[in-house]
Amino acid sequence: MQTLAGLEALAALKDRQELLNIAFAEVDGQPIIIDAGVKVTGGWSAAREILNLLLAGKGTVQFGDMRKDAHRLVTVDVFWDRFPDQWREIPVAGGATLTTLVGDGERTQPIALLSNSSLPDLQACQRDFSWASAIVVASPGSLVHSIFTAVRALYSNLGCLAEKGFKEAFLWGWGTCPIAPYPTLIDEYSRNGAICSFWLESDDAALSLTTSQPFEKGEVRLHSYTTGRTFICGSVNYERIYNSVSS
Amino acid sequence: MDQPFSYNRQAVELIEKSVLPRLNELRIEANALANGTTIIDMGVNCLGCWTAAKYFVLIGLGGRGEVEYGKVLIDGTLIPTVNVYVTQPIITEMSSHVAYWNLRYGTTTIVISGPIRAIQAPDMFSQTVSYRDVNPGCGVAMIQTDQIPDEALTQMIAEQAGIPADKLYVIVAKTASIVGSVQVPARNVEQTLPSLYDHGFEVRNIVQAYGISPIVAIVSDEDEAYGRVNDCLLYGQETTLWVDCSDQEIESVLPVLTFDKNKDIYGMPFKELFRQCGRSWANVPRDWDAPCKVNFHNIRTGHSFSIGTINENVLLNDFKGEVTC
Repeated sequence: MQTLAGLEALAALKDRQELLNIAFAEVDGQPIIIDAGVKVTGGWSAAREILNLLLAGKGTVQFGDMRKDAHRLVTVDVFWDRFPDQWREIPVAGGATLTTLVGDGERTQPIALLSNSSLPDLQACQRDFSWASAIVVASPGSLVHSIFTAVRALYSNLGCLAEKGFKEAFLWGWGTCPIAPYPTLIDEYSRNGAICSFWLESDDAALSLTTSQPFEKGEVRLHSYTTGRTFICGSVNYERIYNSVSS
Repeated sequence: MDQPFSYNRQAVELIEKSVLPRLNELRIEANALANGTTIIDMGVNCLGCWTAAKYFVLIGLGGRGEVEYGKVLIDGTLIPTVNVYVTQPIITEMSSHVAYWNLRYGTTTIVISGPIRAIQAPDMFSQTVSYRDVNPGCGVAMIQTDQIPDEALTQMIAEQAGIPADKLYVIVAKTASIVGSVQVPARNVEQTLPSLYDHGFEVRNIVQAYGISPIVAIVSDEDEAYGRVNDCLLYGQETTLWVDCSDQEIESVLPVLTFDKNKDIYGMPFKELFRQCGRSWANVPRDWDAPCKVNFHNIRTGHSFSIGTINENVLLNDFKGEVTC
């Protein structure tokens, strides 16, 4: 399950932990705990490198922005080169959430993201995460956590696409979502600001039918590579997002 | 003494270090012809991807620049963009990136871009600069095509460039691919520089260059894709140049520079314009091959100038795939 590239990427992260403002905690026989936003504050590069690691060569992550009037919001943008592994969330003890990557129903990487305000103790690691090589932990409110939740909104639309039967038709994708500055705005930003464009090998009738049923977050555009037409489901609401910041 | 910078050697280094080891990941293929030429298919029979498209552009620049994706708001719709930051823009564009080497092959004309043009300067734009890539020992040619080049064509390219055929890389992608749909809009600074040259602007005055273009094209039909990528340039591309000259030199080209000067046909999608020209570039008026919007920052005077109009209607119709005419 663990690829050589994955192990090398983890080692590279460890070598650069000070630069990335993350902290590795290692105990023999236990998953590596990577603090990316609990006792240390993490940062942009850390978030991007971890997300790129999870993409495993199936796309790239970068940051951008969107602006309206006096407000500029930072976004995380994902360019999918092929259909990626899906993000699956599992509630764990203490109200935390663990995100793992799955493909065809199987966990594909022994790296997971833990949303929690404290680092897991060793007993919890042994009990809950014995399958994992590394757990990246970020606290709600930290930058890395906000970035992960913005990306999660995009992946929820990808999950919807797979459920609707379009995984095999997927060619390329692009998504963007504003990064919420406060935890209280995460849901607002995801619902009203996430945009996904998926290029699919499919005919117009199938895409038209698919967009008549809702996706998870924001606006989803299905582009038919076959016919060149675009079908849109949902919409972004910039006013709501910008008003939520200014109010 | 250090060797002078070689666009071809730098491009080959990119290919060998970043592309060939990742063929599967990039969804592309590389195959050697009998004469030893390596064909890298980034979008003829292969799907390609966003990352492959970045490499196509970067290799075309001989590695001298940065290629990033971004996004732009077009009439309320966020659309992905390709952003190109060109180092040494005059040499990089005129000698390498510009698609202007027209090679007659049988009954067809093959348009070649990329570092290989810097070796012999085979066209009028590469001849505008004194730079030559002397004895690089290798060459990289880029072709926008829906056909994989055969051995005879690659032999001809190698011979005319003066390099061994087995040291030649030819990178290909059709327009109707993700790589084609990115690499053409990325010909952004390229769209502006030859137009400036045409109108007598001294291109050596250009110090730095940056361009942003929307990506609205990805569709399987070659004609449709061809129309849309050219719409990205005519109606959506924006170039920013840092220049060192008098303000008068800038002001003299502003009225004739951008595509919106063609008031009789402005707003018509390129697919239709090209149809009116019998689908031949030979019939396309030179004034139609113009940039959409150009910004100048004059570092000598501290004054800035901007000319041209983005046409959101055409771009949005292309992005949504709606019938426009």
